[in-house]
Amino acid sequence: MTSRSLVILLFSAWLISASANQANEPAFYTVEGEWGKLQCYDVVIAPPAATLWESLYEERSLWPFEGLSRIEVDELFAELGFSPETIATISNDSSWNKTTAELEVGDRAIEALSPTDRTAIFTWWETQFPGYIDRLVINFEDRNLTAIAKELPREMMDKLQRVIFYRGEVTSTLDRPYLLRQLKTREEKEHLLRTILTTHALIVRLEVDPDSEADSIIKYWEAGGLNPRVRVLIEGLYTTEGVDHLDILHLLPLMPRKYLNNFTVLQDVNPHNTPDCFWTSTQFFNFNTSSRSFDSLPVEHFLDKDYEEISGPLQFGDLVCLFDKDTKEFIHSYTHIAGDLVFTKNGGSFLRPWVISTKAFMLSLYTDNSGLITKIFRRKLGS
Amino acid sequence: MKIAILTGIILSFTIEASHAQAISLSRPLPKSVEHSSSGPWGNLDFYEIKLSSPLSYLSQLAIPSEQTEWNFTQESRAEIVAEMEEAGFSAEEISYLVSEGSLVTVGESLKLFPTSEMISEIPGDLKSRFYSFLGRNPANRFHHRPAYINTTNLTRYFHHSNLPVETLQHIAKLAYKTPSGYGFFLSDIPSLLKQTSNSEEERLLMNAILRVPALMVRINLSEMDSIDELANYWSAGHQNKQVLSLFESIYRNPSVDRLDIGHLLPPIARQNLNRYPEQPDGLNGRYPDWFWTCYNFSRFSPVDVYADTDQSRALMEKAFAPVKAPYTFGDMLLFNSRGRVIHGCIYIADDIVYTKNGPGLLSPFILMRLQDVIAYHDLVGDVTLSQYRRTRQRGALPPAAVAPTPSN
Repeated sequence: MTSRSLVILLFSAWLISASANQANEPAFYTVEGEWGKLQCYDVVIAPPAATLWESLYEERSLWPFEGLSRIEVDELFAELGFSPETIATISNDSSWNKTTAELEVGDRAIEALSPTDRTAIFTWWETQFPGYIDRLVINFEDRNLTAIAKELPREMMDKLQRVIFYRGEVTSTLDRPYLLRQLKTREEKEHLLRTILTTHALIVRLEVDPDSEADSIIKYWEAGGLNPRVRVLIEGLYTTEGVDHLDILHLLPLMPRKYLNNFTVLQDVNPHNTPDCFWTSTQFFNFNTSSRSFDSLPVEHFLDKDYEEISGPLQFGDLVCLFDKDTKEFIHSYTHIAGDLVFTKNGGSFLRPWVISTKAFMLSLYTDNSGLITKIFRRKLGS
Repeated sequence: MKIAILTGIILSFTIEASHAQAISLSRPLPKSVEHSSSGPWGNLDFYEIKLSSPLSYLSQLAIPSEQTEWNFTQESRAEIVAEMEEAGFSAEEISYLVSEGSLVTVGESLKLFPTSEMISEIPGDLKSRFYSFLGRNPANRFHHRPAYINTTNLTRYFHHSNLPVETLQHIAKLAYKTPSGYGFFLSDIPSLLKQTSNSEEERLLMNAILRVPALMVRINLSEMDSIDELANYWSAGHQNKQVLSLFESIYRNPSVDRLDIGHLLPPIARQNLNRYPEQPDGLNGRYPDWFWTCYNFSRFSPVDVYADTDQSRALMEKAFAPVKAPYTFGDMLLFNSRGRVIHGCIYIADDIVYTKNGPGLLSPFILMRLQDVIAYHDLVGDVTLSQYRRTRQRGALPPAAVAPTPSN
C-alpha cells in the first residue's frame, strides 16, 4: 500500500474497508487522434464540506401529495403498481400531515419499495412536483457506483444499493434523508454526502509523441483561431528534453481554465440562477464570463448569430446541445474537447463542479427513457 | 543576415566575450527538467519555455535605427562629468565614454552617437555601471529596460529562435552582467540590427530578444508522504481552499504521479498563467501591472487597481500585513530600490514566484525564479525584499448558509 493510501486511512476509520481496494487502481488510459495522445486519469471530485448547507443533515423523508387525500394516496400507490404488502408497510410506517398533504415515511417504508416502485413514483412526482424532484434527486454517473463503493463501508453501500432506481441509463436515488438517518456522527454524514455527490473528472495530459507532428496537434487545439494561445506551450513541450507531457489545463481557453475542477462561487450567481451547462458551454471561448444566460431567453438567442450549426466532425470547442426528441425541450449542453472527452457542468448546483469528463459519464445523467437529439454548434471566429 | 536554423545543430565551440564575461555560446545543451528543493510544498519538477508575444504585437513595435544613441538629461558635458563622478566613475572612464567633442545637442538634450566598435569594446564591468547610469533616463529605452538573459548559455537561451550563429556571437559580446550579478542584460539592440538585411529579420531578432522565459511547474506526488502538509501549504491556510477537493481526489488516485501546479493556483492566477495581456484586459483603460497581478492573485473576480495610484497604498494597508520569513504560498514580495517599491510578485514555492514584470502588452503572467525576477528589476544593484501576507479571505466558496439547489 502506498504512503498516500495510508494518509487516506487516517482520514477516518470509517474509510478503512473502502480503501482496501486501492491496490487495484487503474492507471491512465489514452485517447489518441489529431489532437495528439492524451493521457486520462480518472479522479472523482467531492464537493467541499462548506458547500453542504446545514439543513441537509436533518432532512426528513417527506413525500408530497398536494391535492390528494390519504385514501387517494394509497389508490395512487396501487395505480403505480406497488404491491399490497408495500402499501401496508408504508401505511404502518408513516404519518400523514393533512395540512401539507405530505406523508412522512420511516425507514421500513422506504426499504419496502422496489426499484420499480421508486421509478414509478419518481416519474409521477416528476410530472406533478418537479421542484421536489430537483431538490432531492441524486443522479449517479456510474451505474456500478464504483467510485462510491471505494469510499463507503459495505453496510452503507448495501443501504445505498437498496434505494437506487433506474430511468433508462440514469441511476438515481431520492432517499438522501434515509441514508443520513443511518449514521450517527456529523463526520460520517458529511462523508456520506460528499461521497454520493462526487463528480467524475479527468486529469488530462498531452503526451509527447516523437512520431507525431507538433504542428498538426497545435492546429487542432487552436480551433481555427478561436484558441490562439497554445502554440508556444506545445512547442515548449516538444523541444524540452525530459518533458513527457503537458497538462491540458494550459491548452484550454481562459474561461474553462479558471473554472476547471472548481465549484460555483457566489460572485457568479444572481438571484434567479446559477452557472449551469448552458452558461458554461456558451462561454467556453469568452474572455470574460457574463450572466446574460441567466435571463429567461431561448437558446436561439445565444446560438443564432454567434454560432453555426454543423454536422461534424467535431473539433475542439464545439458546443453540443441535447434536446428532448419529442418535446424539443433543451436538456443539456457541453463542450467537445477531443475524442470522447467533454468539458461540462452538469446542472446549476453548487455541488457540481466544472470538469473534463467522458461523454459516457456525462450522458449517464441525461439519457433517461426519453430520447435525445444532438445538435452541434461551432463558434464563429470574431463573434 | 542569413537565417540559420539552429535546431539540432551541435556547436562545439565556446566563445568568451572580449571582456571575459562568463556568457558563452556553447553546444545547445538540451533543456531539461529541474527539481526544486523539498519543502512543505512537496517536490516540484519544472522546466523552462520561452513565451513569444502575439505576432500582431511585434508588428506594432517601432524598430529603432541601428545607430546607437546615448541620451543625457544634463545640459553640458561638465554636468554629465559631475554626475558620473558622483555615480562613481573615474576620470579615465568618463573620458573614455564621453570624450570631448563627442556630444551633440539635439533640441534640448545632449546625445552621443557611439560607434559599434566602441560599444563592443566597453569592458564588461564598466558597461554594467555605465548602462545603469544611462538607464536612469527613460529616453535611453534599451538601457532603461534592458532585455534580460537568465543564463550564461546563449545557445540554449536562443534555442529555437532561428537567430544565426553570427548574431549569437555578437550578442555574447554585447551582453553585460546585471547589477545584481545574476544573469545578463542586453541593451545594444540597435547595434544588433546591423546584422539584419530585411524587415522580417528585424522582427525575428526583436522576437528572439523579447521572448520571455517562463517556468512550467509540476508537483511530484509519487514521493510524497503526507497529504496534510501538502494540502495545508497549497491551500494557504484556507485562503486557497478550493484546491482541497482536487487535492483529495488526486491523492486517492495513486496513478497520478504529477500534477501541474496550474491546478493549484487561485482562479485568476490560473486563468492568466502564461498569457500575454490582450485588448479586453485594457477595456477599462489600463492593462494589468504588478500590483494588479498581486492584489488579484487570490481573488475570484479582478479589481482594477494599479501600482501608481493612491488606491494601491490604501489597499496594501487594508488587505495585507507585513510578515517575516519564511515565505509561504500567496505571500506578496515587494521589491524596494532607492527608497521606493519598484515591483511586486507572489511567492509560490521554493524559489518560484508568480509575476508580471511590466504593465504593458509585452509582459505575460508567468512563473519565474525569484532570483531571475530580482535580476530583471534590479537596475542599480540595491533591491531588497519585503514580505506581506493577505489578511482577509478572498474568493471564498459559498458559505454553508447558501440555499439548497438541485444536485444535478
